[in-house]
Amino acid sequence: MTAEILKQNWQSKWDKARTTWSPFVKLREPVWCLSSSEARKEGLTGSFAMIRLSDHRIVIDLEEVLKLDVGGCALQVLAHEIGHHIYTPANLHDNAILLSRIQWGLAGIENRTAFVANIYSDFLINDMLQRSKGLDMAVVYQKVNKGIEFSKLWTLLMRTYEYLWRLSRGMLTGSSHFQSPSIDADASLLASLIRSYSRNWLDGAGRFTALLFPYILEDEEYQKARLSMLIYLDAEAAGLNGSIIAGITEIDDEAVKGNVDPRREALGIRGEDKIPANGIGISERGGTGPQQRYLEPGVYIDLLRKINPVLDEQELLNNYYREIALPHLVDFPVEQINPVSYNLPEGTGNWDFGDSPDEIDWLESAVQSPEFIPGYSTVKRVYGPDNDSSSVSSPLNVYIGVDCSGSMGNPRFTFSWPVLAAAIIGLSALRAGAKVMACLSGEPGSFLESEGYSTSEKEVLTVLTSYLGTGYAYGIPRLKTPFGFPVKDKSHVIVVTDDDIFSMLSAETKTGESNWDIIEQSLKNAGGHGTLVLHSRPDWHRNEVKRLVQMGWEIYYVTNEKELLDFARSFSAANYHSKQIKNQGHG
Amino acid sequence: MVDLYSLLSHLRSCPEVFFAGTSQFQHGSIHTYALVADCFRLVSGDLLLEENAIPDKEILSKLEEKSRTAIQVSCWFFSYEAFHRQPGLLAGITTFMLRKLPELADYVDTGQWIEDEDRNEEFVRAALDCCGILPDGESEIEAADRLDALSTIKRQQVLKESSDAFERMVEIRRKMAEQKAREAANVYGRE
Repeated sequence: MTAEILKQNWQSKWDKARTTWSPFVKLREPVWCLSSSEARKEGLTGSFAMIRLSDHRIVIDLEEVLKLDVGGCALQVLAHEIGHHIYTPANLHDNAILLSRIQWGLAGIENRTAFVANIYSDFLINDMLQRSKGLDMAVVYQKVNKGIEFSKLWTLLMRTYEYLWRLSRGMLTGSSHFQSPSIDADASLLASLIRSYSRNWLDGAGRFTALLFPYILEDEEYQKARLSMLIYLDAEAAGLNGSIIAGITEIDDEAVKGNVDPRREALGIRGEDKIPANGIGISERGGTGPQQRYLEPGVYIDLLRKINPVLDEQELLNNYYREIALPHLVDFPVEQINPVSYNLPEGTGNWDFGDSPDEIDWLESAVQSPEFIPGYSTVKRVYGPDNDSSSVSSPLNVYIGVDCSGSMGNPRFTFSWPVLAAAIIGLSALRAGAKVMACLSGEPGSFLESEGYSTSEKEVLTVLTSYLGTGYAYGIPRLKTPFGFPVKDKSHVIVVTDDDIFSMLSAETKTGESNWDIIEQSLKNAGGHGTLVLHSRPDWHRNEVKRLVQMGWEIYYVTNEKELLDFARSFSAANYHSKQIKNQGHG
Repeated sequence: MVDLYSLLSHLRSCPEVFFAGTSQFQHGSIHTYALVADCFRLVSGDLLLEENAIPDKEILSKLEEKSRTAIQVSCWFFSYEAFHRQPGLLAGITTFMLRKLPELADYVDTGQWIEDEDRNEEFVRAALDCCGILPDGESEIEAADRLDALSTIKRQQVLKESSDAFERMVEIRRKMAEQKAREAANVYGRE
């Protein structure tokens, strides 16, 4: 049989495979690859079929199908692949949740997450097709298993299928020398689990992972297991090319609860569980960030990149702080402006003797008549106001300077309260329609700043969440870039730093202008309010703080959640509710 | 030979009342001995079956409550028509009721016999095994293998034996996680 004939044969089975699940399933026909080289171009390697959740496609390698002698199993294979699209993982979001729950149970071996997820999904789909839809899925395994390299995990999985489908011992496990009472016991637990969680399959992911854990813990075992299962891995890269999934930053309570080993459950071991209940990505105090309910940024990024390896790391980091900041956005300070009503020329009218002579429009008068007869052929220009509103609200722009010296943690790896504080203010400002300029500075050394004021969330967050790790504090001279001279549009100035800023303020400068002078003058030139968000303690540097307060700087200490929320609330209240500025004539 | 699926279905349809309390003194509870006696008379086909052919009241009363409840469920199970007038099964039924079920009751909640698919099948196969009956279409080896696969007792033994090894693995896992956390803390500063 040629691949072309096989294609026609499989095409004819497509509708039946679709209706096996439901006549209402709408899915495009698979991408039929006549050769393995074509399949590779579609991203299919190792197996003979795969799915892509990003564009809802199935890819079939017909050359490989012929090689494996599964040409007669079109219905089973196609129905299985459809199952990935409509049952598990079904969509990018559920795929992300599934992977996050599985990763929770794979401490130290998180790189095996997608592998475990694929096996779990396959179990659920195959069991549904075999027992509820009446398809003979076992025959596919019997055919594909010919010549396969046995491994402990493979034996466990095949034995589980034998249990699930009441097959005689050896029908799928063949002559695997790994068979043992221990594998039988685990297989029996796995079979129960697959049946029990067929509807709420996400809830069973933790227990499933715990059962597989000993079989893939050692690298050598895992490599053997992977080799024997490679041909079945059709959904490992299901999330490739998808977008960032929202809502994954938060610790999934169900993942924590579901991180239970069914072996221990069967033995009735409860209470003090030696398995770290907090799993990975969760520090000893629980989670991280507000209410300690978020993953560490590094874990979040790793997880999202497992789902979709092509995602940009910086974009993920931006999204991490954005998602955590969103519930805390504040009413952003605005100022009341009575705008200047510009007078615009509206045409001409007669100039009379009572009008001032300098109002005569000589050109227009000459156009009307070459003879100037005052009060008769002379005209004057008539002006009108350009708007009639009496006052408008306008948010102040914001300058956010962030200390990125060696003393500040890298927000890529450790959750950073100061960066979250800056993100809250920056996003609140952008939401209110203000422009934001962000500057990272670790000086002496280096700095990174946005090109002037920007309305781009991406640009602002990228600067805020970047890391330099140079110098010892925020470089006060950076303030001279936007505030070297009085600005036309008023701006808030927020500097997020730690107590090393006081060393910077007192440091010698080569220009003769001290940093104390610069910080004072910058605030005046900005025209708005100045806020220092310090990762420090109120009882440190009292005198210096007093001096800053006298200049007009407001000081906030943010080292924990309470202080962060206090800062956001106070910042909003102080600048929004009580200090609305009447700015006559400014515009 | 009996049809396994019919028996599974019959067991699953066990009325709620068989799970009621077993004390003979409490209102609304079931007298286990009365049920067992009825069951034995039904299976033997002899309504005048002598008391010494029926499990002793005292033996039943010494069993734990959960075992007596499981025995009540087994009385329902053996009320299936295929077991009627089969006096040769009495010895097997006695073994099942007084030895097998109390042994299993330590690990399986009574409700699981009808709610959990595997335990449901284990109950039926264990009962048939005690009575020396093979399910339709299965050889002796196949039936034994299938029962072996479902055996709660055997699974418990294996899990207990492998528990120490598993605990060691968990310990390794914990240390790996700790090591990772320490490395992260060392590399990424003080926050």
